Amino acid sequence: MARVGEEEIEEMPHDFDVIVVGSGAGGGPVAWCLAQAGKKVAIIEAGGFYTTNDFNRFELLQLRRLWEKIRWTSNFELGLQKEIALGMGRCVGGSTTIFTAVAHRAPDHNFLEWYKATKISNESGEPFSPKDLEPYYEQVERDTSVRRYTEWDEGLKKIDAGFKKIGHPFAPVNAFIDMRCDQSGCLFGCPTEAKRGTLVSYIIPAILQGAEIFYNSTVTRILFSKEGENDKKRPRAFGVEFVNGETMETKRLTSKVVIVAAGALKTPILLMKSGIKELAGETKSIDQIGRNFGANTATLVFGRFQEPLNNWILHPLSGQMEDFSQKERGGFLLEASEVMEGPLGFSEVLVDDDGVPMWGRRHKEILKKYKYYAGIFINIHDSNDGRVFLDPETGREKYYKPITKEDESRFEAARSLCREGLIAAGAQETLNTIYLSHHVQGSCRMGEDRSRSVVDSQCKSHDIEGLYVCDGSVIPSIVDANPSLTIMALSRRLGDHLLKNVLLD
Amino acid sequence: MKEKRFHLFFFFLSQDEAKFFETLCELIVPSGETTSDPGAREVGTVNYIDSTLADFPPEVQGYFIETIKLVDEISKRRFGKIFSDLPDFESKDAVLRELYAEPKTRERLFDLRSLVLEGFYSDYTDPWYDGTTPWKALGFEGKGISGLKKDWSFLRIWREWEKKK
Repeated sequence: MARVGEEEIEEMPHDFDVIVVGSGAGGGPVAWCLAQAGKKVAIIEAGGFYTTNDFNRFELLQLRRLWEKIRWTSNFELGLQKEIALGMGRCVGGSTTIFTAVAHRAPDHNFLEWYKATKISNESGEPFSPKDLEPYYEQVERDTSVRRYTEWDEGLKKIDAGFKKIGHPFAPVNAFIDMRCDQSGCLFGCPTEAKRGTLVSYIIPAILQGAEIFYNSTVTRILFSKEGENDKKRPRAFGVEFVNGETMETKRLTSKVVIVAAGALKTPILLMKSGIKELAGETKSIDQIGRNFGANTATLVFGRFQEPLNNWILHPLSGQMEDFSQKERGGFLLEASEVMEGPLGFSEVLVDDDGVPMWGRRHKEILKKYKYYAGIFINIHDSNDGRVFLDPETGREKYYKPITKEDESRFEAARSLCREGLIAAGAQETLNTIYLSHHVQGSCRMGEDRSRSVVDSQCKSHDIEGLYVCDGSVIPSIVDANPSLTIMALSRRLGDHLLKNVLLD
Repeated sequence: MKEKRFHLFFFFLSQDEAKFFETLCELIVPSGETTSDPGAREVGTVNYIDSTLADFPPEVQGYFIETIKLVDEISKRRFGKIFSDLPDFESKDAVLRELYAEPKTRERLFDLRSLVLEGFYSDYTDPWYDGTTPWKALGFEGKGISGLKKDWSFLRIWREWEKKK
């Protein structure tokens, strides 16, 4: 492996054509696309490399192997009371290894919102529209075996019956799941390979095409150099530096193109820690890094039924109710059914009537009835008004994502509907949970308006040559659906763009 | 329920810190009245916490020790005693509620609570414990994994136990 000094880089051959930082929804498809076209690709992943045989149902082990420690917002610093638990994967495949595999396209109205947010455009300079992403959605849906998931569990059947009575039936979701699904769960990796996250759909195929993977490896900074004439110097990304978590050895790799796909929480932090501001100056687009952070914030309502449902034995979130998903109609999407795949997850999210996390005797008595519960996930269309940043005093990563009065009204309307539907379905008691998010988006948005975006409509940095961002962070405003299919489609599109326009030799 | 001591030393916790966590265990998942309804204290959750903290990086260990001190400070200010010396559920509960109510310390409450819940409600079983497991007490049957040998060697307590065997 070549070790080079920054001053020598212009004369040195690159180790790779492309380095992709992250192997989840943003990193996987583009890595595969380039590798199968014969490009030399390195994938660098902070988490471990675990595959199907490793995905047993021992939740404690899998939580340590596959999940990032929960990060909490610091909304209290803004004088706000409510915090959000931010969860994500930390393994090869990223969050797509531990997600619930719902695969829905962004609805058409989201594209109009995106254009309004950042002036995102297609190759002809027209507003970016559903037809611009459609071929990539189709490719990803083929690659990942997306299908209607109709094998509903008892909990969802009951919930649907209740919601039918109040005029809002559920419909089957589309899912990244093929017919091998044995319904043994999603959150601790799929033991059957039925779930077609990036691990099985893109990363392993990319490795088979010659891509090199560096796992347990945390990128600490992107390497930049200046290029061009003195008065027109423009910084360029030429590689990354990373630390292997097992050997603690620091390594450098160089490449023609660097794609950062570490997710909406970690991507802006990596750009900041790499000194991008110091290098490119305080441009409008550099100032946008970490801003416009959205969470698609969620909460759950559980209903306790009279008979045991054993709802942990299922593929969670097999049905959805989208009558209110558009902002103007209420701005919340319901998905069911969910009991967190085991008593631990269930025990952690429960709150009492005042919103305080539960413990003690009542909590324990509720857990004893765990098998009688089925729950509904509420995802709201919240605003991109959050921020990811480094605390100037401590250097610690921090996250703001206010839950506004408007958001609270959405949650209250959604909770009230869930309670009504659950009671109509026969539930005897309902319970609320903490706020959480697994759909973080928008901290390095894409678009043509440099004052409101970090990268252009092709995911290329406005300020740094050779630097691209492709993950949930580029989404200009909240998607009214689980975002992973959209992120994968954008990643496929970036692969196409690089092959046609950048990596021509 | 009769208390059972599981082993005589800890890898990381001092005796006082272990006492703190035992008190916390009793508060978060209280003991039932019969052996078929164990609480976090009986099943050895404090051993899980000790093993987990023992292998955490020093800054995370320091964070938890700082949190213990913070809880004891709240407890002394409100009731004149450290947390593990408080006599009843109500006073201990009030201390944790204050930790939650203060926005700056809210995350610490979640972290303390998570340690206990992980040790109790996950698939973990303490090597010294041979009574009714929490999963059995809940009627939770897992997902058809009973035929597989579990591996908890990521916890120091199980690595030591394997050596002893």
